[in-house]
Amino acid sequence: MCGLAGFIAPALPADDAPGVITSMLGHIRHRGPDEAGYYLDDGVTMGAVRLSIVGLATGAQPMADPDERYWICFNGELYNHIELREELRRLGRPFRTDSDTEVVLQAWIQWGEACLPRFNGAFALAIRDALSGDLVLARDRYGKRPLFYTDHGDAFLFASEMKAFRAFPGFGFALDPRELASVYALWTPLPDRTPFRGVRQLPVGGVLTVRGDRRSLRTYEELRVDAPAFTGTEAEAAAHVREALRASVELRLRSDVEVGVYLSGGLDSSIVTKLATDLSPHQVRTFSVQFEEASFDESDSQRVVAGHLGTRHSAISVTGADIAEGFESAVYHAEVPAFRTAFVPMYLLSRHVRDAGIKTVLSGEGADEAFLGYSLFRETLLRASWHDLDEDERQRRLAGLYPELEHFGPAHRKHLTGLFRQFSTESLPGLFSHELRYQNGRFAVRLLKDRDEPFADLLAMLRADPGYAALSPVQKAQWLEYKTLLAGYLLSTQGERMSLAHSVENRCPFLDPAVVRAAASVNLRFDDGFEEKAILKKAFRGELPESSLTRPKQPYRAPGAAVFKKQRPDYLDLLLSDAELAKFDWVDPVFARKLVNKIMTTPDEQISTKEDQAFVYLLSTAVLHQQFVLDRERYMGTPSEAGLTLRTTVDHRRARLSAGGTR
Amino acid sequence: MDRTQKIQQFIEERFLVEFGGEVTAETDLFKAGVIDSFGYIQLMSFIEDEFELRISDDDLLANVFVSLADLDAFVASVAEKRARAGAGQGGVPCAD
Repeated sequence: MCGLAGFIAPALPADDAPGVITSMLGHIRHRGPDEAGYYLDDGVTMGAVRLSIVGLATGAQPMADPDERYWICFNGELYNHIELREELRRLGRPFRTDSDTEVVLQAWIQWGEACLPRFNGAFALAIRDALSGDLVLARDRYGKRPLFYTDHGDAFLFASEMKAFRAFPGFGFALDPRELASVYALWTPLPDRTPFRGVRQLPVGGVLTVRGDRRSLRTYEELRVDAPAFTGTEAEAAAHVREALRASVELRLRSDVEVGVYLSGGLDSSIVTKLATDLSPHQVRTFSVQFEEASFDESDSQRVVAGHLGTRHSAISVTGADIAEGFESAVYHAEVPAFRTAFVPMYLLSRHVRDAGIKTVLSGEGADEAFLGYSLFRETLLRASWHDLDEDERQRRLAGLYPELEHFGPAHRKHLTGLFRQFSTESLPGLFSHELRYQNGRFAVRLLKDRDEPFADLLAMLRADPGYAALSPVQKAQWLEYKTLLAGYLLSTQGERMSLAHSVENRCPFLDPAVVRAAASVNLRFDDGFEEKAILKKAFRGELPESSLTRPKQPYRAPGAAVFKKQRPDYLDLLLSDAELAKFDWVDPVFARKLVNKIMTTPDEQISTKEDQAFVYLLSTAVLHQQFVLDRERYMGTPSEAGLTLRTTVDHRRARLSAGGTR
Repeated sequence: MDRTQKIQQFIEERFLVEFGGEVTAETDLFKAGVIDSFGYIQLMSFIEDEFELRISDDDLLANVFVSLADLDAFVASVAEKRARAGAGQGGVPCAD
C-alpha cells in the first residue's frame, strides 16, 4: 500500500475533483501499480495507489469503518498488525478484512493519536473524520515513508511524493535558495523542509491535524538515542542484540508475497540475510549492485556471503554509462538535490528486482546509526577526548579513522593532527560532531547567489528540542544522523524513492524501535567505540563468513563527477553552456563556472570529495529545475511503466454542484 | 612573484576562490568553506615543497594555519630564523 495524495480545495469546481485526484495519483502510480482508489466528501478529496503486500484481496483503499465515519489512505506496512488486531478484537473492535490498513483504522478509532507510538512499521497515513471534519496526516518515527504538504491559494495539498502536486490546477514549483543552502551544507533537507518554496514534509514521528483553516502539528514520539544501560555481561548483551534483530526480521518477513534481501556484502546486510535465511521457509533471494570500477565494487564479499548462506543470488553490473543514463530518472524520483550518485545504481537495482518478480526487500539501513558504525562517530569520540589523550594515542586513533581515504594515511598524519586540533573545541553550538563535515558543506553553498548562514535553521531546531542539549557528543552525532542523513537521504533518495520507482517496497530490520533501544543500551558499555560495531560482530560471530566480521567497513559509493565528464550526457549542457547556467536564478555563475571548468579539465584523482559533491549537487539541482520548475518532460527520464487501475471510487458529496465550489 | 602572492595564487587556483571580496587574508579558510581536510593536506604539502621547509610538530602546536595571513607569517618567520642563523644557503626561495 504505497502512495497517497489528496487535497482540501474549496475553490476547485466540484466536477473537477475526480479528475484532479486521478491525475495526482497517476503521477505516483509507480508506488502502487496494483490498484488505486479515491474518496470525496464535501471537504476532502483523497486517494491511494496500492502495491498489494498484505491482505491482497481485501485491502483496497480508501477504506472506511462500518459506519463510514472514518476514511483512511495508508501508505506502508504495519509489522505488528497481528498483535494489534488481537488486542483491538478483545476491546470489541470489528474487523472485516485481513489487511493491516484496517488495523490502523481501528486502532485510530480506539485510541486516537495514542495509537501512533504503538505502531511498529513504515508508514504515512491520511485519516478523514467525516463527522468532526478533521483531516489527520501522520508519519512513522524514523521517516521510512514520505508525506509532503503545501498550500496553493486557499487549497491544502498533500501527497507521498511532491510530483503529485503537478496535477493540481495552477500549482507550480519554485526552488527556495534558503532551503538549497541548507541542503548543500547539511547534505539533506531539514526534517520538515524540502528544496521547494512553500512545500513542507511532515517531520518524522509527526502528526498534523487540519480542521478548517486551523493546523496543529505535533510530535507523537521523540527520537531517543539514549536508553538505560544494559546490566548483564558482554555475552548477554550480544545475545540481547541478536534476539532483538531476529524478532525484527521475523516481523518484517510477514507478507503475502515473497520477501527478498538487498545484499551489499557488508556486515549489516549480511546479518539481515543470515536471519532471513534462518526464518524463511524457502531459499532466500538476494540482490546486489556490482561496479566495473574495482574501487567501488564489493562483489567478492557479496558472493562469499551468498555462498555461505546459500541464497539464490543475482547482481546487476553498473557502469559509468548506466549512471549517466539513469541519472535524470533517478533525480526525478528523488525530488531533491543529491551530493552523490550512489542512489542511481539503487534505481537500477530495483528495476532488476521488480523484473525478478519480487515486490518486497529487506535491507541494512539504520545499523550504522544505531550501532555507531560510521567513522563520524569515532571521529567525534577522538575530537571530544583530544585534550585528554597523549600524542601517541591521538596518532593511533587518527590512523584508524578513515582507512579508505588516502590523505588520512601515514604520510600526512602530522598535518592531520594539526587539523584535528583546530576542531577539538566546539564552534557551532550543538554541532561539534559534524563541524568538519559541515565546514566542507559550506563549499557547496558557494554555488548559491544568496547564501545566508546555512546552519541557522538547523541550530534553531536543536535549540527547540527539549532533550538535545543533555546528550553526549556521540549521541548528538547519532541524533543528527537520524534526523538528517538517514531520513533525508539514505531512507529516501537512496532508499524508498529508488525502490518504489519500480514498485519495490523496502523494509529495514535495524530500524525497529526494539533494535534501536537495544543498541542504545549496549553501545560503549563493553568497548571504547573504536572497533566498528564490535557488539554486533560478537552477536553474529560464527554465523557469518569471517571476512564479513573482520573487513573494514566499505562505504557504499559510486563514481561521481568523472562519469558525467566521460559520458557527456545531453543534460550536462545545463552546466557547460553559460547561457543555460545563466537561466538558474539561484546560481552564483562565477563560482559555478569555475567549479565546472575545474571538474572538466582536471584529472579525476585531483578532484577533492567536496568538489565532486558540489558538482553532483549543481547537476542534480539543474536537472530538478528543468523537471519541477520548468516542467520539461524531456529531462524527466524514463516514464514509469506502471498503470493506474482505479478500483475504488467513493463520492460522499452531499452539496455537489454542477459548477463552482463544493462549499 | 613574492611569497604572499605565491601562497595566494595557490589557494585561489586550487580552491576556486578570489581574495579581496568575501575572502580576505584573515578569513578562516575552513569556516568559509574554502578548504577541507584533503585541501589542508594539499596546502601544507605545497608550503613545504615550495618553500623547502618542514613543518614540525612544534610548529603545528604553536601555529594555527587557517588563513592566508597565518601561513604567510609562518613562512616569513621561518625565513627570518634562517637568515638570523646566518645560513647563506638554503634560505627560503621566493621570500622577499
